[in-house]
Amino acid sequence: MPLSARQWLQKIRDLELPEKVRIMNVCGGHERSITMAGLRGALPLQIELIPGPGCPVCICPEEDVYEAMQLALKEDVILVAFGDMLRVPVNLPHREIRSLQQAKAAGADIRPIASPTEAIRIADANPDRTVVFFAAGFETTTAPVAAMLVEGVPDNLLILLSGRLTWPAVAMLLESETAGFDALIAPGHVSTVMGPEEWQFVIDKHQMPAAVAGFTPESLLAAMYSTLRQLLDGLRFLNNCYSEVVKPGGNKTAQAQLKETMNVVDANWRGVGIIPASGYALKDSLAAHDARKQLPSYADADRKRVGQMPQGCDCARVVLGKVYPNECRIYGNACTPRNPIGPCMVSDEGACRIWWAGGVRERAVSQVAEW
Amino acid sequence: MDHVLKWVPSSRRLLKGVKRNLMCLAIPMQITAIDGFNARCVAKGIERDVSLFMLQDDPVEAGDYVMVHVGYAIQKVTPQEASSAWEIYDEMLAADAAVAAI
Repeated sequence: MPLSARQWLQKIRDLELPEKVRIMNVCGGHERSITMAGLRGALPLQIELIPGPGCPVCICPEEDVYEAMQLALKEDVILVAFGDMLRVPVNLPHREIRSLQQAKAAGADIRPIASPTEAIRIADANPDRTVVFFAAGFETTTAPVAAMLVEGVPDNLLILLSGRLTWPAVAMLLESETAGFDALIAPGHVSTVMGPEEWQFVIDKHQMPAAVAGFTPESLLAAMYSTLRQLLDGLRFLNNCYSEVVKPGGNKTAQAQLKETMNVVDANWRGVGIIPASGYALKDSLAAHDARKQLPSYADADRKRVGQMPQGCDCARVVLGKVYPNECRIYGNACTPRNPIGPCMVSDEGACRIWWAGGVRERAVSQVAEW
Repeated sequence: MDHVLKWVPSSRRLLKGVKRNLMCLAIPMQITAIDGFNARCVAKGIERDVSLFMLQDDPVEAGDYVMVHVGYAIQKVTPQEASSAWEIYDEMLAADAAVAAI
């Protein structure tokens, strides 16, 4: 009989914890469950739960959003993208068109989709037009794009790929001198596709406790308990607390399809910078379907230099788990879900938006030193 | 304080997630019919077309349960695993409505 959330919580409360333990999650779905279940308030005070780089919309490079907007506005194309991407603002003056949503309102043919199969349907239904699929996302979302490409896509469908791998961002944090966390909750559905072994480096290279979790409070608390016990007992092993879905080795078909269609390349993360081997790019064999090769580039070098988070916005530090969302200078003042300034307030997976939806309305004074 | 634990991602919220494509959340659905790599799947009375193209190493048939993400089945799960997930989600529908009202 699996333990209930209440039982897991009691087991955690019974532990003799050190003064402070910081557990990072790197998945917007995890952060949503943690916040909505109120786990921060229910856990012992010594435990800090830190939302890390878990929002693909938030770290999608500003120049890619800009490129998508310009293609939609200036080329004769239909642009399709996952719905969350439409509201992300780029760094342009307010009088200019600053998001795909505004570009759509200005007449560009931009359509939100929920699945790569919809991109194919739209391309099939419009054989005389070019359809550009702006595909941003982590491994869980990029793998279906790869599957779509292997299965075969219409000639008039181009991909503007902005896929990212999750683990290199965690590796970058761990290799920095100020990782800012003591244990890791690894993402459940990324591990379903890529295999839990992807996270073994956290144990082997950094001797940090880690556990893969699902999305219920039970699974998250089980993973937290595991990492805490590992810390207290001096043991280190990657504990799969979502074994009903996450299988050893992950989904081999999906991994083969990713390998067949895409190369892993150094890639820019908005507000973070270039992270080595953290992005996907279409292989040369798919050049005919690569929007970056078939259509003009509007994101020039100058654009890339300004391609950071909006002014005054702390999304960059929120994404890296350096500050909590409500420690941002503009959280809840200038930046709200109704009028978002930073991408973390835009996306359903952004930590700021999740905290706001979870009822956190007050700003907090940052406890973290400037860096 | 324990009352706060009564939230889990509900079936309704998750299915809404399918529409709004939360990018990391997959949900369990049952296959009702298969045509090549396309499957008709159902969960909580809501039907969706789902691609089986990512499950070629793990063949499935009608009646099986799969985790579905952005229209693609990413993993086969046992009926027990799927139903225990849905059981938890079901229990929490009421609690979820309160959260949704925020």
